[in-house]
Amino acid sequence: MVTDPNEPDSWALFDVDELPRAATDQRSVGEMLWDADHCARELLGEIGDDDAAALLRGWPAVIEAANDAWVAIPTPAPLGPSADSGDRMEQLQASATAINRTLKRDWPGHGESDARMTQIAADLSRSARLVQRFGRNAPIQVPAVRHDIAAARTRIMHTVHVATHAVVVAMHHHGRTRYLDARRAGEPLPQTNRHSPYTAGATGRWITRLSACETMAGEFIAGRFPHVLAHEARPAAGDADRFERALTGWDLQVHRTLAHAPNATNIEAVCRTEAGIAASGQVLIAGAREGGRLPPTMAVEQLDAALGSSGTAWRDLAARWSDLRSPTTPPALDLSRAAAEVRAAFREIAHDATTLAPLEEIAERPATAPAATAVVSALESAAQRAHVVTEHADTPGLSGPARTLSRRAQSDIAAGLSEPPPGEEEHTPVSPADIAAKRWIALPRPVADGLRAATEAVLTATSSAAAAAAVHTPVPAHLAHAGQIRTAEARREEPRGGSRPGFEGIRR
Amino acid sequence: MKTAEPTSETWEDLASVVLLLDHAARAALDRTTDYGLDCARYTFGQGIYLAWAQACAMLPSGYDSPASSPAADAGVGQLLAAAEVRTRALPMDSAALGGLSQLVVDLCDLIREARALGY
Repeated sequence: MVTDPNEPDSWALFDVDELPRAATDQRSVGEMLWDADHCARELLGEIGDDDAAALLRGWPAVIEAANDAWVAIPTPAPLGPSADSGDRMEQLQASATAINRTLKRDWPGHGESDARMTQIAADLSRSARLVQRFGRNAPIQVPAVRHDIAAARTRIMHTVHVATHAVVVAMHHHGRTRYLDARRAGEPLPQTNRHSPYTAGATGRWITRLSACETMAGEFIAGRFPHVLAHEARPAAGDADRFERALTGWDLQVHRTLAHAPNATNIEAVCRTEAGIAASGQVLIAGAREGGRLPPTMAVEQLDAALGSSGTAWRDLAARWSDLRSPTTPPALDLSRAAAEVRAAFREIAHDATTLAPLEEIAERPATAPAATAVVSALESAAQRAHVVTEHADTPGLSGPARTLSRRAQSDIAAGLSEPPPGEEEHTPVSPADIAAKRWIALPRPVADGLRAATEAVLTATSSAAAAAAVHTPVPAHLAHAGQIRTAEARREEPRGGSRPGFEGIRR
Repeated sequence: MKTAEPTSETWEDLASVVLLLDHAARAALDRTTDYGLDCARYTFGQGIYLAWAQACAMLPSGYDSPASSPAADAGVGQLLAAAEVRTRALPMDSAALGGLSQLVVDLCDLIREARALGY
């Protein structure tokens, strides 16, 4: 930003070169806020198993310092769209005060605070003091200054958002450590669906309180921009049916999106998510079996193999559709959101604080069996989605970047998956001139053949998976009672006049 | 500190984040294995893919990136770390970049996950 002390429009409150610097610290307010943000990011990327207590002790000081900086910054009037921002920081400060009181009498009690949290608090405090000394007379009616103030406030709230998320992650780690210790001691703690599988006892209370603060900070930033808020992933629901709802929402969104915008980017997003659902399904079924919560009649090996083939086929097809899109064209927002919800719902069941949990832990979680049921029930609809995707493989006019298609064609020919056009064995399938000019070209025959073959592989795999699942899929009550549909299992049972519990039994 | 209006430099920085995430997602997701998908790695790759979609959605429609592609031999962890570093230059207070704070949180989570998975 141009800085001319005689020109009010260019006066920059938080510019690196503009503010007087304190004698002992040569950084400007802007630099201190950057450093606090940077430190919070580093912290989040490096949380260890034993950090929870010290991080929790240091958190109230960070919020207090953030509040000091927030209050010190002059407030333009009228405040405009961020009029409730002060309320948010007040709420966070109130939560921090209450948490500070609790943690002195409850776990973790007195002790050292985490040095990184102390550093973040120190940076925010110093910036507050600097603004109090030199920023009182800032010309807040000047647009550039108002922008700087808004930017500083957003940076402060962002730092609170990142630092609070780091404490929540550390609490998950701590909860898991307690869970593993208790199990080793022969007194296992129950796992829950509330925010984290490891939220029993005091850990659960801390995670609930801090998650609320994280949400408050995150919503302040996103809430200032309604178009962002409208497409955010839903917060954790904390119930056993979340994964099933996510799959239902996904199915609906795929049909909607591909009906209106069946482009390569959206089809790739569908394929990637379908592969993820198949891989997740294998883990969930294995977990439910490990926990003894699957019906003994279920052909688990057959389902596992079918899901494995299905996941690989979807993954290969996704890679081919990704060849046909620009790296800067996003999938439809509603589709991304539905995909994010499926992934988040799976992670809530199957992950520890960072990555996939061991199978024996997944087996003990209450949501594992209902989610395994949901995956099996959804295999039929996955086959239908495969048919929807198939319709687009032969769309006339498919094109992609010449360089990418050239690589794909050569790779397919080298692997024996396709043959060069007759008489053109000595030539490359894509013109070097098109590659050099970075043109988009129609699919060369080897690439079109490969796309068709990968699509066929998905159809075959998903049909097999649907067939494997059919014997375990419960019939909707209203249809079964009306006698409109009989499952294969029901047909087998008819001569004996009874019914087996199947997957329906797991729900109870 | 930058102000709310994105400049051409802002879009270039964001586009470089997008390209880094695109490369990282492909590297993590399209890895060939002989025994089907590795769920831990695949859901990690999906996370990168969704972060790519988040970042991409902030670019102006039809934006043609002048940024060059990342080095072909860079690892997934390196690509994620480079993407996070690039986000530091982006203005937080911009309606166009309203999802930036959540993107940063997701990136830091992915960096931690990458380390846990040995990337």
